[in-house]
Amino acid sequence: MMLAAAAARGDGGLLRVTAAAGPFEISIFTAPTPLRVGAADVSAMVFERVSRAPVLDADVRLTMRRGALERTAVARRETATNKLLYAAWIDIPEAGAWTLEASVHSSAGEGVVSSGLDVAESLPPAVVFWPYLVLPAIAIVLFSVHQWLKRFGRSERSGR
Amino acid sequence: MDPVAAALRSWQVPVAMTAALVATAIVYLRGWRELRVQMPQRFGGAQLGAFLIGLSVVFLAVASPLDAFAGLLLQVHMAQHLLLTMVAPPLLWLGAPSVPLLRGLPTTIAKSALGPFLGAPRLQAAVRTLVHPVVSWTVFAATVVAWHLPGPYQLALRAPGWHVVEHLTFLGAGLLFWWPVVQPWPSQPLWPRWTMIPYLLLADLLNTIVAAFFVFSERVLYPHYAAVPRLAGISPLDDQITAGALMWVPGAIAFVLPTGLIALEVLNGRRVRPSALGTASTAVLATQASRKPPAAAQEGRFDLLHLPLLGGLLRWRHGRRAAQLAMFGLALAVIVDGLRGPQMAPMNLAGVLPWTYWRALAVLALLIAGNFFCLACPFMLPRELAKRLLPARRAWPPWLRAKWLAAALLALYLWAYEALAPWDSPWWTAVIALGYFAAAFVVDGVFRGASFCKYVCPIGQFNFVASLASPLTVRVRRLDTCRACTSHDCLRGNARQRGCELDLFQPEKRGNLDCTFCLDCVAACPHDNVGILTAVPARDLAADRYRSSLRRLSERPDIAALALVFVFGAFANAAGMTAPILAWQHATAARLGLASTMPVVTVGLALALIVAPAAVLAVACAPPFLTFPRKGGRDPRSSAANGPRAGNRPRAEPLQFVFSLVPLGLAMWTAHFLFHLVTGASALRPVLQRAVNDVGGVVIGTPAWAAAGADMSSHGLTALQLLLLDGGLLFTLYVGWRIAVHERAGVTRVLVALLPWAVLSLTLWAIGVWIVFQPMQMRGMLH
Repeated sequence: MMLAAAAARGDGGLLRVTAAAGPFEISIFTAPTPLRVGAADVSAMVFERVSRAPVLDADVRLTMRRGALERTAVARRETATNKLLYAAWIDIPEAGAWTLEASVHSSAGEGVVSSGLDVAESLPPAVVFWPYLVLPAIAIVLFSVHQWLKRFGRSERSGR
Repeated sequence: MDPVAAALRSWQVPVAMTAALVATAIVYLRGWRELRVQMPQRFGGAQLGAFLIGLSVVFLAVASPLDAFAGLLLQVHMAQHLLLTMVAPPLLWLGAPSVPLLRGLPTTIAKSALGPFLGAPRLQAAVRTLVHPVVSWTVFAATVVAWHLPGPYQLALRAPGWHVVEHLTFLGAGLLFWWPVVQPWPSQPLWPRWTMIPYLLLADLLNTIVAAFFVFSERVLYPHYAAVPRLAGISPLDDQITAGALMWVPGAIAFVLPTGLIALEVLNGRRVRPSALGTASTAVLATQASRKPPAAAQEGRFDLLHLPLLGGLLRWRHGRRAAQLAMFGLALAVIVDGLRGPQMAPMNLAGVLPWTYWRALAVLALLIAGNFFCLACPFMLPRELAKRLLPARRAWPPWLRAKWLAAALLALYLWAYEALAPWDSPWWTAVIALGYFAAAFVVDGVFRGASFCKYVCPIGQFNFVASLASPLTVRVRRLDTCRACTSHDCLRGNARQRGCELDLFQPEKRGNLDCTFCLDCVAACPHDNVGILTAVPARDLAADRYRSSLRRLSERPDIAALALVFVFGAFANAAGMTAPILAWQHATAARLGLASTMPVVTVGLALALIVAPAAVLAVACAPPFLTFPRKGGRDPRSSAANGPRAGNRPRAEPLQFVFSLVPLGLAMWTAHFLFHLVTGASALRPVLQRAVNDVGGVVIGTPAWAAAGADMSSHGLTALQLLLLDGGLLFTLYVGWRIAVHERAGVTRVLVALLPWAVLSLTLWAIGVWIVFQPMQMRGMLH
């Protein structure tokens, strides 16, 4: 049960920008926080500016730029957990200052918003996956306690 | 699409979480079914319903659209937290889960693994302290107040890791808070029942104060919600007021309703005496309740053959033949496409079916069930044909009856995989498959029995060794029946059914070594006394028992050599596809002026598959003065109960340690093949479309090759690979521990004996972790 609760997480990630663009209001979210070299979850939420209704039938393209480097992905609602968002995975190749741009096209018109992003170096895998590396050590400690209790627990109980 | 409909579809079903909840429900249900018979007044439908609804509420809180929208609307986030603190915990406790959960676990886990912890006085005292009303109320209050302060709340919204901690602490504090209120059976209250009335009312007062801050505050408490896009035109302040109202009204109901019920209970005069036993009694009683008399036979164990559909299919006379025919058809398709189709592996059935699918599925079957590839082996058909067409009268040469040849052939097979790269050559794959069919036909056309399976087939040897760690085994159901049996049809066969071709006598058979799951013994036994039963692989690997025609593992350095090739081959094969090793191979070849990397690969594999196993085997067969004396100076394994006497075997035990490495080797193979399966699974559809279209006549769509690229969303995959390696390491260390303990008295002696093998296991695990972290060559995939 506790494990189940641990699986919970927010959807969308960190809000990077909310801005009006054409007939839309576009918000961009990124995860993880902070962004690091490697796979990034980028999502966009699009509203009609006037009616404040979510736009669910737009074409959303996400582009990350840094100098000559460019990474583009088509964001889809199917990819997002929150089906009001458009999401895509973008592979960020290097650290530094990047620009993230979301361009939205629909029958109502088009709009583009952008935001600056700082991307940090990726962490060593041993740091990212440290819980899996310490798991055997925890299990060995528990097993040692188990054996100790088996050996001495009985005398402790009988001595009480 | 309607936004509301889209919002309601915003579910995420995380595999680990769902598996944990389902496993908990299954364990509870198992225990509840037993207890319902023994204590129907205490374990009825209400307890079952409450517990299952409680689990469902946890699932709803963390997997439903509530979670997807928690970051956008405070009121949704509040509802999520109320479910975790106010709804799920009391429902779970109403199911009185401690005893059903213990009873639902396998006896070994409940008694041997958990028993010492549950019976430990210090742990019982700690639990008693935690569920003391003063402590549980204080923890709950502190959790509710602390997480609603702007700093921690914002932190949880910003960092997924802290969001997890927030949910864990809410659920944990909720469970602690509701314990003394519900007082789940068989725990005893520490305070009189009436004290729960002020306990709940004080909590309601606190809840009201916190809720009032949300409702009456004139500014947005959490800047996050002021920044995010507003859904349905709800302003941040209105959202906050609604969240406060949710906390206030339904929260108050959650506290006041049980207060009223307890008041009625007290007024009606039901007395409950306080007891100093508290929760300690729960643990002790539950442990005792889970004790079962030791089974004299295998009865009561899970038997795959007793399953309604699968069991029937496996027992069906033509069941195995049908599976072999299906696999034979796939093998033919691989051969034809490999020889005639495009020579780009990811576009050819010969590049995808064997190297992406077959290997991974076979090894997964070994890990979670048993040797089911051999059961459906396509090479059985040429073997059967050879038996009909050729004499097959000669006995397999006695000097080749050990597993040395099998170990050498397995090493040769692993070398050929790296040196000839059949994964990259459909033609080579087809030729190897054809060679396999020819070898099976010739060997079993000349020699009696299943000589090909037992002494030659490298795939079979791989499966035999891996299945030492499998949880299912073909074995007798009742030993008493075998003692009374004189015909021994399981070995000798009878007029309608042949016996075991691999010379395994069921009553003496232990583990899965040399067992092809052919089920001939099942069909031959006139007493219907052979099944596919659950086994405890750790117990089987640690106990050096007599194994029918294989004798004891400690007497078989040849089988130890085979196991070492299997284990070291797992790491060598996986390392061979990592970028640093490939770069090193090319650099070394260039430095030596070689035209290809094959000599370098060959030397590397010779070190891994011959030199390293030989060195370990030499240590395992070291002179007896290097090992510590055993308990009482006698060999406990030579008792009559363990089978025929093996005589004086002074170097037997170190060889046993070799087999403790098998789980770690299987973990590495599984982690490796799982990588190929996950990253290359999408290739199957377009390859099938291409192959069918090439045959002509039927067109099943144009292959979408772009969708067949490697799927590199690898965080979850890497985590799974590491979990497999962790499990393999712990399994290996545990088996090693059992072997050492079995032979020695005194912790120091046990640890000294275990040390070299533990160091070797940890080294292999570290190499496995390093391999998992490396960039991988995308073998057999479009990229």
